[in-house]
Amino acid sequence: MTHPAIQTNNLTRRYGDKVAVDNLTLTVPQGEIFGFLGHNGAGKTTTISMLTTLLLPTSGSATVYGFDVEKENLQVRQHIGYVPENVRLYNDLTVAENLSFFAALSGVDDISFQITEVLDMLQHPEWKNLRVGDLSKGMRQRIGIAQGLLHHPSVLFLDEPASGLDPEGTRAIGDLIVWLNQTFGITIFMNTHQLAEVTKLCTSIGIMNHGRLVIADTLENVLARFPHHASLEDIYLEVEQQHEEAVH
Amino acid sequence: MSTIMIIARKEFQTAFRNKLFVTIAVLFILMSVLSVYIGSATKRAEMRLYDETVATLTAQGVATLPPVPEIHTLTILSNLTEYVSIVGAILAVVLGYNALIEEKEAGTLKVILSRPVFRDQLLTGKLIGLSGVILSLLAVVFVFNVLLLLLVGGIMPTLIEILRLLALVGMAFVYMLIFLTLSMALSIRMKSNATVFLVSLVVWVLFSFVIPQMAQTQMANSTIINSISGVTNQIPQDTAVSKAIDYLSPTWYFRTIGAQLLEVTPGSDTIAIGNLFAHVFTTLLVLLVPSVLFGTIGYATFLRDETLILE
Repeated sequence: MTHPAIQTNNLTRRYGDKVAVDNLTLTVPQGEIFGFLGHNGAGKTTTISMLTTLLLPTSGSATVYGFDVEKENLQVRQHIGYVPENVRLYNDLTVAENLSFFAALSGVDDISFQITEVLDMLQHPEWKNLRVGDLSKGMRQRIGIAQGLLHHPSVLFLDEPASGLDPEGTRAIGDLIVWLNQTFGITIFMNTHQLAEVTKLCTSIGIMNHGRLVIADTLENVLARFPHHASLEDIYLEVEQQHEEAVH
Repeated sequence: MSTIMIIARKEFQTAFRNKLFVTIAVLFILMSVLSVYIGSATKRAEMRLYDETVATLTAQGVATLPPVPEIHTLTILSNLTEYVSIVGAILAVVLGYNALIEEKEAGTLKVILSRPVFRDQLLTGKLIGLSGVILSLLAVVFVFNVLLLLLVGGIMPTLIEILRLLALVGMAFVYMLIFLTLSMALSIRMKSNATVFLVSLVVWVLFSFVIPQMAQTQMANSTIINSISGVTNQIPQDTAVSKAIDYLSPTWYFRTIGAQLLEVTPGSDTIAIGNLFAHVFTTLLVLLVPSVLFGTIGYATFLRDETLILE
C-alpha cells in the first residue's frame, strides 16, 4: 500500500491561548511539489515544525511517509530532509566539512561519496573546499538544500527556499527543486510567499489563513476554480479576503 | 562514531576557527610563558644577589654566612592561578556564550534536531567538545610551563612537583567548566549573545572580585584594639562571617588551592602529599557544584521547552 507523503488529521498547535495551526487536515500524495502559502504568521512554519518533528502537536495527528510524527519521530526523521528559512550553516567550516557533519548525523555510510554526489547534483563540485562564510546567500541556500539530500530523503521540507535571493539565485533554486522532484521522485513541501515561483514549480498548493487551511488542491484545479482571475496572486488575495470576511 | 561524539568533534573543530577564541587563547598561553620567564628571572636575580652578598662577606672575613634562600620551583609559576582565574574564565565564557544562540541564528539547530538527534545528545556533545577545547588548551599550558621551567629556569621539576602542577591543571579545568556551563545555560534561554556574554561576565566579576572583596572588608573590620593593653584582637564571629562569604566564591577556592599546590602559601611545601591531595579532592567536589547546577538548569530548560528552537 502506498502511503501519502504527508497526511494530517485535525492537526492543531497552540502557544498558550494563541492557536497557530487550527485543525489542519491535509493530504499530500507522493511525488508532488506542494506549495504552502499564507501571510506571515498564518501557521506555515509551525506546520512544517510539527511535520519535521521539531514541535509536538497540541492535538490531532500527522504522518510523514506513513510514520506518525509523535510516536515514530525517528523513522520520520530518516525519511525527511529539512531546509529552514535563511539557513546559513557553519561559516567557519568548509562546504565539505559542513556536509560531512550533517551526513554523519544522518548516519550516512560513505560520506565522502555522498558529498561528491550532492555537489555534482548542484553542478558545483568546485565548492567543496570553499569556506561557507565566503559564499553568497544563493550559494549557501543551495548548500543548505544539499545537506537535506545527503541521506536520500523521500520528502524534502523547504521553508521559504528563495527568501532574499536575487532572480538568478531564485531560478537556480527553482530548477534544482524541479530536477530533484523529477529525477528522484522526492516529494517537496515548501512554504513560500513567491507566487510566481509557485505557479512555475508546484503541482499542488494549500493556502493558510490565521492557522486554518482555506484551500488545498492541485494547482490545475485551483486555477480552474477561479477562471476569471488572471493569476495565482489574484486567487490568493481573493481566497484570503473571503476567509477574512467569513471569520469576522 | 556516536551522535554525541560527532557533535563534540564539530564543536572542537569550530572553536579553533573562532578568531576571538584563538586570540584570547594565544594571549593566555603568552601570559603563561611570560609569567614563567619573569618568575625565573626573579629567582635568578635573588640567587645572584645572594652569591654577591656571600662573596662580599667572605672577602670581609665574616665567618657566619646567611642561609641559602629557599626557592620553591613551583612558586615560579604562581601567576598561573591568577591567569586562569581571570583569562581562563573569560575564555570559557567565549566558548559557551554562543553555543546555542549561533545555532538558532544560523538555522542549524533546526536542521540538527530534524536529524535522528535527541536534544540531550546535542547538549552533551557540545559540552564534551567545548570541554575538550579547554582541556587541550590547559594541556598546552602545562607542557609550556614544564618546558619553560627546564629551558628558561634551568630547573628539572620533581615527580611531586609535576603531580602538583597536574592537580592545578585539573582544578583549572573544573574552574573553567563553571563559566562554560553558565554561559551555555544562559545561551539556551536568552535571545541575544551580547546579553549572555554580559550576564556571564557579571557573574564572573561577582565570583572573582565582589565576593572576595566583601570577605576582605569584613575581615578588616572584624578587629578590635584593646585600649588598655593596645593589643589588636580578631573577633571570632566576624572572622567566621568573612570565611563564609569567601566560601561563596569559586574563584576563592581555586586561588586558595592553587596557592597551596604551587607552594605559595607558607608551609604548603611541607604538607604531606596525601593530605594535600585529599584537600584537592574536596575542593574539586566543591568546584563541581556550580557546574552541576548550571548544567542541570541548562538541560532542564532545553529539554522542557520545545519552542526554544523556533525563536
